[in-house]
Amino acid sequence: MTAAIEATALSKRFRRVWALRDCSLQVPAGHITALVGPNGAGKTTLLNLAIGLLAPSAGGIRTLGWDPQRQPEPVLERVGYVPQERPLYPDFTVDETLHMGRALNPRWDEGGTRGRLLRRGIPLDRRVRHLSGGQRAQVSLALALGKRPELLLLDEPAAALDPLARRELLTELVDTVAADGTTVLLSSHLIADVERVCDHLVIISQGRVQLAGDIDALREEHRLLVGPRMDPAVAAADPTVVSARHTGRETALLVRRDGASSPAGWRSEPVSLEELVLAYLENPAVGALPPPTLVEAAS
Amino acid sequence: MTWFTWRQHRSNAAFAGAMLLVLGVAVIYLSIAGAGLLAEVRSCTPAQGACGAMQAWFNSNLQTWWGLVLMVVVVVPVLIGMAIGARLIPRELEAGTHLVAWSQGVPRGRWFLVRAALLVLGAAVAAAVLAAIAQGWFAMQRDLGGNPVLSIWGGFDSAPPVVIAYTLFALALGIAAGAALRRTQPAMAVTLVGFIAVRVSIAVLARWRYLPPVVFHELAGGQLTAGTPAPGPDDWLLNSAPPGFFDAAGHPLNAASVSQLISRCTGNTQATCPRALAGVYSLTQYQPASRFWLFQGIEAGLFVLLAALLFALAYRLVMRIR
Repeated sequence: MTAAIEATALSKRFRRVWALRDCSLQVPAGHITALVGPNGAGKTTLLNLAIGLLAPSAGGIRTLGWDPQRQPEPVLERVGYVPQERPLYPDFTVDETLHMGRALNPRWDEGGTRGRLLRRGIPLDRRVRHLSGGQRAQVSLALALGKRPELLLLDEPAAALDPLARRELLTELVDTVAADGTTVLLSSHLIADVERVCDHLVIISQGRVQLAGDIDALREEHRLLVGPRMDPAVAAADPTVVSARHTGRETALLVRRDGASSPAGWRSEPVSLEELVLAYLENPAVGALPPPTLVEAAS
Repeated sequence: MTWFTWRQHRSNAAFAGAMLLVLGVAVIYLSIAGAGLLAEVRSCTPAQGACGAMQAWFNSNLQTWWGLVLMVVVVVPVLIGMAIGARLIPRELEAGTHLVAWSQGVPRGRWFLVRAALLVLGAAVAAAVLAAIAQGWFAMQRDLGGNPVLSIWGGFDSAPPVVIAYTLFALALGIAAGAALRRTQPAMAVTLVGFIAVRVSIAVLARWRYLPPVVFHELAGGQLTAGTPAPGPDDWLLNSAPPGFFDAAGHPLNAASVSQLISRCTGNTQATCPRALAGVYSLTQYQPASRFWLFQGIEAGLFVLLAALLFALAYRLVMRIR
């Protein structure tokens, strides 16, 4: 697996607050990876670090093999970024926004970008401030895709979009990745969206990576075990238990037990992606991480 | 980058162009009208009675207009600093568009350098045109003559070298303040206060000291010391180093002794007056007209240097917004 983004003990502090702390993760090339976590978990910070808008306070990050701080040019030319509020210049027309993209990006795809917007019925001569939220999102995405990016970073791409626009946007993403082999890292609150388009998952909470991996593999590794009620302290002490729910007679454990058979008297069920994500988000102290790889030290 | 910069600042450029056009047309119109009037004023002799009144009216009107033109020239640099410089970075940060501007294929450092260079160019051209208009107006008034207020030094603050330098300084100050404070209004306030503080203190405290003033001694008896010429109408008499009276031993005389001397000489008895005044001399300091362009160069150089330092600071601050 080649990594489009490789973070090693990456940390970012704003004044006294750590937005990210000791994050080590790899975003695999050629896949759509979801970055999931509660508000303030550090998702946007991670995206901004990946494109070099922010500089790490400690640790390192490599994007497409480059250091975004020391070698900004190759990174900026190859990484498309759709920021959270989809900021655009409100007094620019759509056409002028594309003109800006063409003027600033050497690999700009003029025909593809215009075609994409025209197909969606977006009037190119209209000022950005007069566009609807969905149209704005499309222009923002078109500006990022116009770079012919090798890596696309999307911060909450579906937020504030109606269901139809959301579906269109996600379909477009999947098509693009399939056609060009673009790597996508998108942050999202919406597990249903993640499930539909993403094949990798990174759960980030309180500035730390809790879980990362291929979604199918993660779902196979995790099981829901339901059995007779057990002592909550025993469940809490078990490192393989992600979350535990105790009712009067029963205990339900969401566990990460690779290949292990369930104990006698316990029922083992597969978990949905939503159950899995929620189990981790409810228990931010649970970390299931391989030790960080020391890429920087080795090179 | 050029197009991008132009697109974001074309309304500034259009506004500046329109203002300069209005001012230029007004000055040209007034010059033509003034020249016609001037012919009448000059042909009117003797310069007393009705003619004198007409000349006085003419001069005072011209001075009013000159005051307005001068005010515009003095105010425009800091307006450019506030409206364009101070807003440059904060307006991107406040709208979140820095995430767009700085995530395109042109890295942030180049974004800043190209933008700063083009703004410097635009502001310098605008300032040069403005100063040229003002200077034309000033020259016309000086041609009219008979107006001792308008020595060549009276046009110091509106001459092209310093007006361009003030404008670049204001622009750099605004950009640096915006990059440091990251919010528009505080940055504009700091630009205004900072510009006035620097501009006034240099004009008042430093300008007259760029070169040691020429010192002119005048003996009370009327004889001049040899060597230095008496200040002419175009020389800059230094109020900051006021003329003073000194006794023969070189001690300064206070106001009381001076008035005492004067009273002894009024009703002048030839016998007492010269003796009382023996050796008393007055001292006048001035900067001669020949130093005008040298002083322009010094002051412009000073402000351009400050601007360069502020641009370097602004670059560092912009790169540190991470």
